[in-house]
Parts: sequence; C-alpha cells; structure tokens
Amino acid sequence: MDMEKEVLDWIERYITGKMSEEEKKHFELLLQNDESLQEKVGQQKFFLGLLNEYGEQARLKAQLNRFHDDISIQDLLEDLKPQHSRLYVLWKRYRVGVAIAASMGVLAVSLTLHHLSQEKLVGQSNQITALRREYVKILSTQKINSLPSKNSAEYGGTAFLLDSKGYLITNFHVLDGADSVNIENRKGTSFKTTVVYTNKAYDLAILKVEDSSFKMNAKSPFILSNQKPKLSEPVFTMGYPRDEIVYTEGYLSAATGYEGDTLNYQVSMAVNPGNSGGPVLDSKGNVIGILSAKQNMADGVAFAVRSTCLYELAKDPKVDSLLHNILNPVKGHKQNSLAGLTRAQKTEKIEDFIFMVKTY
Amino acid sequence: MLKKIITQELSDADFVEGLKNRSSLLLEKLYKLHFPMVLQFIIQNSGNEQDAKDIYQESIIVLYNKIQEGSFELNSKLKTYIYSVARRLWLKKLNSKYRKTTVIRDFEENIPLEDDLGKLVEKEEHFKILQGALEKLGQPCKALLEDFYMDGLSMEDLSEKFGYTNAENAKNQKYKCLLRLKKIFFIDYSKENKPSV
Repeated sequence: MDMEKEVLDWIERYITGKMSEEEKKHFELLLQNDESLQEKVGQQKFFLGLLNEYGEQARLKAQLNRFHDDISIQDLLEDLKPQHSRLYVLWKRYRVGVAIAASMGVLAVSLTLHHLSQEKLVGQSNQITALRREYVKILSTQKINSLPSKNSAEYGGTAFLLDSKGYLITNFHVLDGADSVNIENRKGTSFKTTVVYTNKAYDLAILKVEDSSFKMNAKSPFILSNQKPKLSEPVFTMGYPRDEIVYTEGYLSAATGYEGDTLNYQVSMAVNPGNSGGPVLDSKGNVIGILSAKQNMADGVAFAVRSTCLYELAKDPKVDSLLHNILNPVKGHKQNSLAGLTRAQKTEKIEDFIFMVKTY
Repeated sequence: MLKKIITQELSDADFVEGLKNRSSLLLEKLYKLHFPMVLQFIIQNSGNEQDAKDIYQESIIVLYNKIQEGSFELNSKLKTYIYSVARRLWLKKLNSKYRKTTVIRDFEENIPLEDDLGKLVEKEEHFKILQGALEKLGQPCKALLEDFYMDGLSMEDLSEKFGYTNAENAKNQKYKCLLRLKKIFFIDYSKENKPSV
C-alpha cells in the first residue's frame, strides 16, 4: 500500500509539474519501459484533469447562479403571457396616465391617436418586414459616359387586376418612392402604369394600365369581400417573390394584425418579399385581403390588409369613382365564378390576372 | 472598453473578447442579456423556470468553455449561437424524457452546431458522474478533496483545517480519499458507458 501511495505521489507531481528536472528525467526513463506505469499515468491524468475542470466549472456555475438571482423572473414571465395581453400590458402601464390625459381633454387624446395611426407605416417597425422585393443592383460595367441603364428595377411586388378598365390593387409601400411603375404579366410582357390613388395609412394603392395594347381575354374573376372571414378559414395567395408566379396557401390566424391592428388580418402563410400587394383569397375564391407584411420573429406569420378597407375608403369620392362598379356589382352581373372550382382550377383562372410590379 | 460598458454599446465581438479574458463583468452582462430569449423558448416548449435556468446555464458554460479553448468562431450572432445550443440541449432532454421525436416551436434562427459540441456535452456527463461519486464519498473526504484539488489548499492548510497532526498525515488521508473516489468514479463511469441494450 505504501508503494502504491509513493507511485501515486510521483505521478501527481509529474503531471502537475512539481518535479525537479532531475526527478522528471528519472521518471520519464521509468515510464518508457513500464507499460502499466504509463497506463496509471494516463488514468491519473484523466482523473485529475477532470477534478480540476470540475472545480473550475463549479466556480463558474456559482457565478452564474449569483447573476441569475439578480434577475427578476416574474417580470420576464409577465412579458411572456399570450400575445393579446401585449396591449393589456401596455394598458396596465399607462392607464393612470391615460386617465389623467382623458380627463384633460378627449380631443387631445383622439388627435394623438389619429396622429399615431397616420405615422404607422408598415415596414418601419423592426418586428415586421413589408414584403416588397428589393432587386439586387448589378453593377454596370459600361463606360462612364454612357447613359445609366433604365432596365434595372428598384423594388418589386404584386398587383391584381380588378376590371377591364385596367385598374389594379397593390400595397402603397411597394410603390413608395418610385418614379415609374410597370406591371408584368405571367408571360413576361410589361405594361406601363400610372398611380391613380394611394393611401399610406391603409397601405393601399390603385394603379391604372396606360398601354393601348393591354387587353385581357376574360373578365377579372376577383370579387372583393365585405364580410369578416372566420378564423381557420383556408386562404391562399399568388404573387411574385421571384420572377415566376408563386402559389402559397395557409389559413386565417387572427382577426387583427400586428399588435391588434384593425386594418389587417393575420394569416399563417410562408410568404416572402415580392408577395406584397397580392390578393388573399378564401376557400370560395373571394378576395378577403391584400398581403402586405410578415412578422420577423415568428415563422409563417403574415399580415394582409382587409378587403373591407376598400369599402371604407370608397367613402372618398375619388376611390368611389375608380372602384364603384367593382364594389357595388349590379345584382346578377358579378357572380363569383370561382366558388365551385377546385383550388387548382381557381389558381388557373386567376393567375393571368396577377401581375408583377416593378418600380423604377 | 469601460466606456462601452457604461454606454451599453457592446458588440458580440466585445463579449467574446471579454469572456476570453474571464471578465466577470461582461459575463454578467451577457448572462442577463440573453436569458429572456431562452426563458421564452423553454416555457413555450413545455418547460418551466427551473428548466430554463438549467439549460441556459449549460449553454452559457458551453460557450464559455469553447471560448477558453480557443475554438469559438463568431460566424453568426451570439444570440443565435446561444439559442441553437439551448435548443439542442433542450431537444435532447425532451427526447430522453418522452422517448418520441418532439416538435419544437422556434423563435429564433437555428444554426447547425459543430460536432465538437458533443465533446463538451460528454464532459458534462463526466462531471455529473464525478459529482455523484463525490456525494457517495461523504465527509470528510469530500471536503478534503474539494479543498485540495479545487481550491488549491496546501497540505499545511488542510492539516490545520481538518485537525491532522501534520502535513504528512494530511497527505495520507488525502490519498486514501482519492483512491476511494477513483474507485467509485470508475465503477459509475463504466456503468454509464456500457452500450445500452
């Protein structure tokens, strides 16, 4: 037993570098010829190393525990309660202030709210990504004195055709800042358009085709719903997140948009930049929304401007003059031609009426 | 650096640098910064606060050790890395608990982790076995060994603390305890590492 202890002592001193040069040389000589000693050294090295690291980690963990005790877990858990209470949390925090403000003048409050709603443009929040597509600018290798290429589009999105007069609906943010707007059909033919109406707060815009060669062979199948859709309603969209038309399906997730926004619905769809402005259709083929944005931190959470907003906007005579016939179909004239068709048949019928938007 | 800490302008690279230098200030800031994300993830994936604490601390330790080793490369956001580690650890725990493939609700981007993460996880297992063996050892051996190997007390200090007549005596006791610990450890170790039937 004593010998064993001596050996162990040597091994330990060797591993931790506590041997003198002479002792070390002597020990290494022994090691060379003694396999069982080598094994013992190896095992002890492993074990001591483990003990050492274990100690280090214990100290680290103690540190982390101290940090952890500092954190107020209850506050964090409060913030994690289901989404609808986001508004609730805000309300809880500010209700006293609001009560005071309200008692100082309802007018001031409503003016503030009005101001706030005007300011909220989809795309400015860092929780939401507006789905217009940004074209990657390819550096031109042309000589300096030649004119810059006019063919490079800046932003892209989707628009859908409402009638034979050439009116299309898209999102405001798709057109924001554009000098000119073109639309391109599925086959790749481009048409010039003018922007005839925009509404930043609702994130909607109306385009008109300005090309005499523009002609559709069939009537636009789109009917804008003025009803509230039900949750879980299967929905689909078609649009241009790439240069080809893309079909995406999902369902209606919530009756309001991000943080209770009453101009939008929340849908569960895997959409991407370029899908903005595309129609969101329900199972009967009615347009219930216009796709506009998706939420950053959650997969498949997207938002669409409610089709009912167009009916609200039609109170403006300008909008009414453009969309009157579409929003007020004469009985019997505009029937839903898509209702009885299968999904694939529906998409076949509508895809010619969905255009890529390119802004310059 | 101090100015950065005060004005809260720390970047991911700053944190990695700080952890490399074992700065407890930066470790603390990092710890408090990313815990809410992991808490949310665990809670929304059938865990509780205690699970969140355990998984989060394990993840931070993995990150810390990797930085110390020198094998950590900042290829994506630190947040994403921590999330991915926590996610993997939690998935592992869930699968061992419920024995069926679990579907995880993600809140962040998830990056694939290098295989030597497995090495660090394996070390964790060894630590658990060691801890178990130390518990089985009982007192005074546990305290004696911890003081010598982890706190670096000398033989003189130990003999004073534990009331041995001299340093040589303390040394003897230490060896007896060490041998016992080794024995227990290697029995448990071979049990754990037997291929599962």
